Amino acid sequence: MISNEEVQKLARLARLSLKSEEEASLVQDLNSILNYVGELAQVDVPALSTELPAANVMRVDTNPHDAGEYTNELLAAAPKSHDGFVEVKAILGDSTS
Amino acid sequence: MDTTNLTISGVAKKLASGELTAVALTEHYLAKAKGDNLNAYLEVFTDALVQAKLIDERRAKGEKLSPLAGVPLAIKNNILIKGKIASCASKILANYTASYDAAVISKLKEAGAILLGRTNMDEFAMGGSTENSAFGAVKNPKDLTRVAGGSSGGSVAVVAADLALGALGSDTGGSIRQPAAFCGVVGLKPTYGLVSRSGLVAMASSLDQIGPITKTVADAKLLFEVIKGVDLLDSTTRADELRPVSTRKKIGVPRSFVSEGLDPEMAATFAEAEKIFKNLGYEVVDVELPSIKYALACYYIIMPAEASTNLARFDGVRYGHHAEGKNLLEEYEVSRAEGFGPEVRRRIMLGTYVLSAGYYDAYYAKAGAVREMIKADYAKVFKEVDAILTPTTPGPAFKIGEKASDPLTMYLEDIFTVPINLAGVPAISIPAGKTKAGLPLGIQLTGAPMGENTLFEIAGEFEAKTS
Repeated sequence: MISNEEVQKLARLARLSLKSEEEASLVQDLNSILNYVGELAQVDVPALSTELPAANVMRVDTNPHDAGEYTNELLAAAPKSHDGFVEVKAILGDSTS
Repeated sequence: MDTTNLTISGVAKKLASGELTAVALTEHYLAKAKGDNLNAYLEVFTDALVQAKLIDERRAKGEKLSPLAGVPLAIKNNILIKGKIASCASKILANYTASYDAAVISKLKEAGAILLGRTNMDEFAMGGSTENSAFGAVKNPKDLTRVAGGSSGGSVAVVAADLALGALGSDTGGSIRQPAAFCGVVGLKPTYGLVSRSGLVAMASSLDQIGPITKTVADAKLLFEVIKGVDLLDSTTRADELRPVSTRKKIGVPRSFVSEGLDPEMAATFAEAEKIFKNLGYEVVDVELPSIKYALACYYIIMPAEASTNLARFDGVRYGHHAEGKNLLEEYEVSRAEGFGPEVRRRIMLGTYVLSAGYYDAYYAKAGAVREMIKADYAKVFKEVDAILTPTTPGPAFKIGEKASDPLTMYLEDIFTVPINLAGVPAISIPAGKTKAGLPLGIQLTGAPMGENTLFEIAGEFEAKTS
């Protein structure tokens, strides 16, 4: 069963801040869903074939578009931009954050 | 103009003969769409008239046009239309404007279809009632106190209420077929890989497929043929030819699977449907899909796992809702917490859990293995029958709010539709009758991979007999 601490850890991993009242209901909902999907533990699965029917499909890496062709259009969607770049808070130099 | 009984195929003839113009038809539907009392449209596109005018001009010049030319259609709001908002009915994308057309939209525009508006849905297509929309639930046109189903509830409601002649939806675990059954229209989930998802906001990439929602089977076929096709921008699309119509005239019923948990009126309608198929000359036989009982559990591991991964891109930095924080990490966490609704947050958490170290093998890897067993079950049955018949849903549309408090109860509504997405096979939901209270009920025909033509044939015969 999933605990409050685990839910807090998952929220961190999933980059979601949780309100304390939400935490309790999430613990309950996740446990109820995990209890249901846990029935798969009882299924005997045959040894998986190593020959997967699926294969990777790669696009031919050719005809690149001109650098900057879409920059303005894409930047227009960004909440914050500056001089042709997406703007974010500094991620280097502050070990406490 | 009364268009209630008009179909895309019917309208195409009237447009071609000049009995009707695209402008007149579009004006009629714009007026109807603006009067939407179902909360089905998130936005009606008034510039649709410009497109309609162009179509009329091209036709006047004698150009040979597609049957879709001048036909007003509605689009689920997780499918990108360049220059229009694609919100996925989420706060996090409430103001996001698409910078390109989805592959299916390019195809519709090429065919001259008129894009009438973008439709409401469960946020990021997560839900079965459209109650998870950040913009309010969609009402069922047959009973305004009930849900339209979901997640393509808006697209289905507009077709059922004749606020558009047809619509596109997306189907990850039943999101086209379940609302189609609840509102009494036709919905097709095509074979995985037949329709490009380029420009569809991804939910669970191994399951998502775009499909048509229409008043008739013939219209579904028409729309499907326009949107399908290989696309370099979706590497899962395949160029294979559709199979020819299967002529064994044999339908399989997974008896033990359909014998439990049905609403009595659904059970009676299903028994009646079996009789109708027998009268149409079909042999109806019992078949076994032994692993299908695990499908729902399997789905509720694979789907959130993929969704949590796909939704990691919404970070409040490159697009969408942004919240201030004391550092970048906190900005991610708060932007996402504010932008995503409760069901989306729940599935992200669940997906993160089943993919996390220590649980991956027990959940995700196991679900992948069970999925292969389910696929193998279908492959075996399709050696014997043309199609598999089940109800689309256990019962008719439920009341708004009735199942909203318990996610698991809501998930159980998907019991008949999710196995199809896991197996990657096609399925169509068609109207099969009504409850005494007048609520629509649907049956689902499932086909072999690339077996859409067989489904159209069988569903079309049933429709001709019952309508």
